[in-house]
Parts: sequence; C-alpha cells; structure tokens
Amino acid sequence: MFHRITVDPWSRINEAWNYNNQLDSSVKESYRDPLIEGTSNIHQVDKSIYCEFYKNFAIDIVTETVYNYPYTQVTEKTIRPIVHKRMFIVVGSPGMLSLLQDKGFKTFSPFIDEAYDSIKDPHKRMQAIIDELTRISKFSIDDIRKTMLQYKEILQHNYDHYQWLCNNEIEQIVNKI
Amino acid sequence: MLRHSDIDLTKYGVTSHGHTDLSEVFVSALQKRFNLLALIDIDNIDENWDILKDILVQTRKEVYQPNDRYVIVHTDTDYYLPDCPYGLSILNLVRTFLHNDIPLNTLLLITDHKGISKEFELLIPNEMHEHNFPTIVDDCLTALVNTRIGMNQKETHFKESDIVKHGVSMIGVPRIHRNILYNQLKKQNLLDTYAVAYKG
Repeated sequence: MFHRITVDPWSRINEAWNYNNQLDSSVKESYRDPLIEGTSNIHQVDKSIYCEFYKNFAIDIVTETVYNYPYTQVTEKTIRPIVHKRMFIVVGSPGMLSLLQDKGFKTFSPFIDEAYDSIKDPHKRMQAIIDELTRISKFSIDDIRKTMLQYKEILQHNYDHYQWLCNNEIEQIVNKI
Repeated sequence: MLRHSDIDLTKYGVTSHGHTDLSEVFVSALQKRFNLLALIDIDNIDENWDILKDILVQTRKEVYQPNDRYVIVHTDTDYYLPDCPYGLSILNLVRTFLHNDIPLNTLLLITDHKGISKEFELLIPNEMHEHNFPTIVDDCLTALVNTRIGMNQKETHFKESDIVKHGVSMIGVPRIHRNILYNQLKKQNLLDTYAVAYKG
C-alpha cells in the first residue's frame, strides 16, 4: 500500500536549525536602505532588469534560499552579483563557493576570507560570515574601490563565463547523459 | 509528451501554477536524444502524488524503448525528517514508480541537488542498481530557468567612483538565516557600511 506523506513547508529542515536560539533569529520590522531604489519589488532585484543602484556597492551578501540543507542550491540570487560584476559572500549551504569554482567561476580570496564556505555547523558558519563582514567593514571606501579594480579581471571572467555557460552548458549536459 | 500543465491540477485539490524550472531550450535538447513521455516538476505534484500516479498510468507502455524517459524536475527544497537520509519527495517519487510497476530506468531526474543519487541508492533495492536505476543530472547551473535570468542582460562596466558603500544585501523575505544576518548587521552597527533591504 502506498502512503502519501505531506508535511507543512515550514517544517523544512533549513527552517529549524537555530538550536536553543543561539543567535537572534526573531523577525524585525521591514527596513530598506535609501540607496536601494525601486517600486515594483523593493526587497529583491528584478529578475530580468539591471538594477541601477547596484553600481553603488562592491560586495553582494547573497542570502540564498536554503542555508542548513543537505545540498548546495544555486539560484538567481547567486547569479545576480556575477551578472552585475560584483564580489560576493554567500549566506547559503556549505560548499557553495567550491561548487561555483568547480563550474569555472573564480572567487575573491584572499581579500575575502572564504573559510566559511567549508564550515558545516550552521552557527559557526554564520558567525564566520559575520566576523568577515565586520573585518571588511574596517576598510575605507577607497580601499574597497581599489580592491574592486584589483579584481576587475576576475569579475569580467565570471560575467563572460556565465554567458558562456548559458550558451553551452545544456548541450554539454545532454551529451553526457 | 504529457506535461503537468496539460492536467487540471484543481481536481487534485492543488492550486499550483503548472510552472516548471526546466527551460524550453533544455526540453528541446532532451527531445533530440530521448522520447519524452512526460515532463513533471515535483513542485507541482508534491501536494498530491496521485497526479504522478495518474500520469504514469496514462502513459504506461507494455514495452518501453531504450530512449523512453519521464523527465522529473526537482529544484524546490525537499522535506527532511530528523535523521532521515532521504527527502520525502524523493521517497514518494521512487515509491510511486515502484508501486505502479514503471521501470526506474525510464526516470530522468533533472536537479540542482548535487549528489542526490545517494538517496536513490538507499531507496532502490540493490539488485536494481545496475539495470534499473534512474538517470540523474545533478550539476545544472545555468540550465534552469531561474539561473538563466542574466543571459544576454545588458553588460555593465563598474566605475569605482560610483561605489559608496562596501556592500549590499537584498535579504528579502524572513527566514532564519536571513533574520540572523539582518539582526547581526544591525547589532554590530554595520547598516551604514552594508545597504540592506529586509522584509520583516
């Protein structure tokens, strides 16, 4: 006999990882930085149109769909900084950066300490990300601008490689099956 | 090829939109290699697995050709019970095929869950692994609709003088990791350094 199992989506494992409330995960009131403009969807970059305000920032702190999940999942959220030629830190499952590297993308070590990517414990990984953001915040904006210039070739490589993958990956996959 | 969008999902009590994350480019490429019997996105059937059962029954063949395939798309998050090594959707998927006596080697899973074959290895009896095991494509990056959004998007060239803050985070809707990130950035007085949009 086949038994169908259904579960309330909010009981997904990635929604229940903050054991003993070690970190403050309470919901706060909505907030939007004045530099982030837009009327249609103020909390997420439009999926198809370039966002003008992106030019004001060097690093995209990507909050992926899943965080404590058995698999890495790359969504449009991670693609966004690649297309906009920005550096990025991914608040997602461990192994996101190594997956991108395996696919031919380059990341931003040593400027960004990417050790967080291999930390499996969700609390320790989050703390490593916060620590890294705190460390980077101490750089002056001039230093950040200079760093962007230093990584210009990598940013261009990632953009070009993404476009190449869009045009070739499907054929590669189907040929491998 | 039968698509879930061809089916009246409301009769199953499902309010799904019939959308799939598999791009049409991908579907066309697969059709050149395989005879696709059906295209089903788990996102549209996981509320009621009778949908898949009915599709399998409707398209059942006495003899399957080597290139016959049911394409199953799995890009949404699965549900994992504590200490259970497989997700409930994959459990139900395998069970539905087995229960309806459909060969599992007709199943072509397209997913972004890299390494998910280990779940199938646990759920499918060992004696079936060699000749009756699904084909699993688990390393899609730009092959799916939501990751192709930047294709042919207007190329931009940054000007360093435009950069006025270190970073940005489009945190979006609340989830535990997003709430924590926002709360920590606020607590550490980093909202002047990183621009944030958060929907509380």
